[in-house]
Amino acid sequence: MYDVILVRFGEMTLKKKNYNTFLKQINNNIKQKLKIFPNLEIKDARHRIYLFLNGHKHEEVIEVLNTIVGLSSYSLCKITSKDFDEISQTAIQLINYAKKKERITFKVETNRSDKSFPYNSLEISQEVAKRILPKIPGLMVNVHHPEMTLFIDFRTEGVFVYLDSIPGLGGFPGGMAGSGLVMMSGGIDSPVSAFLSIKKGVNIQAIHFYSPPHTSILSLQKVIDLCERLCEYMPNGKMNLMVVPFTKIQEKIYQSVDDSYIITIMRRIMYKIAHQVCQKYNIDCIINGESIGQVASQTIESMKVVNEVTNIPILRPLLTYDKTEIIEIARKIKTYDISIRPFDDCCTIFVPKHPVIKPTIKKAIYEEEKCNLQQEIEQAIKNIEIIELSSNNHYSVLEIDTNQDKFEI
Amino acid sequence: MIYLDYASTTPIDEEVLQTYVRIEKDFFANSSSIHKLGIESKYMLEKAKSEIKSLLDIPNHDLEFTYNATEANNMAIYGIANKYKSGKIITTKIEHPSVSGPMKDLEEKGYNVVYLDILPNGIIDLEQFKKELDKDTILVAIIWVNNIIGTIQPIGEVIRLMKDYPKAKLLVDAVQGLCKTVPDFSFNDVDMFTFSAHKFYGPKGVGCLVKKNGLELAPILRGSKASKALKPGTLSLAGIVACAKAIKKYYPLTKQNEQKVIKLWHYLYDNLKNNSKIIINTPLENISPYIFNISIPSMQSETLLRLLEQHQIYVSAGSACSSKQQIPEPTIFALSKSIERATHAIRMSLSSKVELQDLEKVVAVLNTI
Repeated sequence: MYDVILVRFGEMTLKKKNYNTFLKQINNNIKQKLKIFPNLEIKDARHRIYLFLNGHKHEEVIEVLNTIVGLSSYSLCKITSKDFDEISQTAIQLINYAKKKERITFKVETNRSDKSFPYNSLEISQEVAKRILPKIPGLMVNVHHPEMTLFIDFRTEGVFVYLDSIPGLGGFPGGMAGSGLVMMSGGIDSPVSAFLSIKKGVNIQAIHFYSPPHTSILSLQKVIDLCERLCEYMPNGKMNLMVVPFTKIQEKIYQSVDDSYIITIMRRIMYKIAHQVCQKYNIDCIINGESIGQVASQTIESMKVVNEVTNIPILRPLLTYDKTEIIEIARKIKTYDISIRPFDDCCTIFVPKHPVIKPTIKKAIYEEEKCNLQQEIEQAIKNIEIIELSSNNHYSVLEIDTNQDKFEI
Repeated sequence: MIYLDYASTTPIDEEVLQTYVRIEKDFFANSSSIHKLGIESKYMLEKAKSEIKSLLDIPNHDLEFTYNATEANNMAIYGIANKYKSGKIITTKIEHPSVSGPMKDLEEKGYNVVYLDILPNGIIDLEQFKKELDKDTILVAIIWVNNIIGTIQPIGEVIRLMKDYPKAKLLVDAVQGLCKTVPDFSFNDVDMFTFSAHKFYGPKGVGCLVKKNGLELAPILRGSKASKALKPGTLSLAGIVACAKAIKKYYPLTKQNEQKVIKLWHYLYDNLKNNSKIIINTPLENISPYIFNISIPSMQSETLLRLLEQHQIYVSAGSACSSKQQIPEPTIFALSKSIERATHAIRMSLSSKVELQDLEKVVAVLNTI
């Protein structure tokens, strides 16, 4: 039905000095991701991009645009000739299609960049409104608070007619804001914290602590599937997942540490490892899905005790979010259904009955020294397995070869 | 033998049967088991689902497999009704018993159930529908292709009218339509629809409720907590994969096969229309050619069925599900308002596998009555 998608940029237009760098980056990202539509034509204009669909379905293109960080909104346009009757005809079609109720208020807004046309913007709006109003029952003009706005964009190449706009992902273009290491447990929160970071332009990699046989291979697959899902939002569609062999460390902590401090020590060790990984791979910050008070290990006191092991900044994008808000985002980015698969992860398997809610640094250091984990930590870092994930190739650790004939229907 | 009861059920397709047997053997593990064999079964299940979704072009729907379409229709209707506890439900006077049964029950439980009339052409009264559809409406249940007389209801128009009432959810019984009739609407726009594999050469024991992602239904069955499925319990993986196979084979042939059946339908019509003893119940327009319904006022449905049986011609009296009851067939009654026609009706249901010479014999027998 539509000819063109008009794409607008978001917050980045506020950043005057960095604007050109942003623009270059986002154009690259868009071009990369839209490669799968062979007939699509991309035309740049300052602050916006026009995508000529040339037969591609707009729903499919929008689905891809919805994974590109930095786009603020889209409008679905039809192109007509510079003729009032044709413009009005098209507008009627668009309004009838979008009109969800009997009575609706609207206004016409015209932008005339083609100054050769003999009418000014106001006159164009009036001419078109005059033709539309009698044709659509229940349509009323309200120039101050319209429920629907009809935009007419007079350009040299033709007239673009469209209604309102669909919100995009927003944020900054991918990969602009340094790098981060996301601690990915497999739960609902960490993928959301990763997504919010990607949205702000952080180039992320993920780290997962894996304790077989205490946690199953399915829990690792779950983390892989989550990362693959997040790859969709990465500008290059790729992400590395570092899998840390954590069994020995976890067992030793479990044997040596006072029950109530197991979680605290475990998290301190995870951050120690993350710290070294960041140094080794030049990653700027650690990102996690902690939210104040959600569980015992996420009290501010706990964060203080855990933070003490590293001086690398730890970003906690979900700090002040409610669980319901987090779930809403998780559903939107389609990680929720993966996260709720019922497999234990490193945080749930060794949970003591009464974890300490207000740990102290002094006691934590004392408990940690009892385990003497230096050697195990070095070994774990040495044996990290790096899995290169991408949005268009599924990676499986499940040892089932799905290419076998028996899976053919 | 001349089998003209394809709307009751179809013989299983040979390839589909082979798929069934192979899957039952190769994937015997429970698709909920978390060991490798279970994961393989689960993968097979997901693959079957995703192939059906892509064939029907319904990326935003979930498939919930059941034992048959009756169970699927019940799950959908009670799923909505129990969610809201009260409200208005709009349905028609010509639904299959798997819809009209629950509706009657809900009516007794205090729901406001409205049954739309049908016009002389067998189509629901859209003006009445427009009047009845309101903000209190929670469910609209309309059969796409009627199982008794074959009329095709204007689902596309119903969808359009429902756009202003987002609370009302649409359930379309697609049992006699899928793989037989090209829809004039997109399945994508339907909140819920149901089908049954054995109506298109699939195995018996596989029904399906297809519902839009995110549409929550109150479950009528309870089982394993781990399963968030609407229908908990071990699935018939072989049945589901065989169902996918049948859709894969027959859905793309919908138009082609329908063309063939149209010729068969016209042969019956042309050769029976002048027989003064026979009343043709099936209207002439907006119908599926797969169903041809007649009444012979001088002969009770079952008598006629037995008579044809002696000639090894197998048809149905009313619909199979109510053939044991001596009550007027509700659809024929709603259409004709005649008790006589409604107790003297037989349904011949066709298939692209029926040969013209078979119908020659059928016509010959009917014309000698």
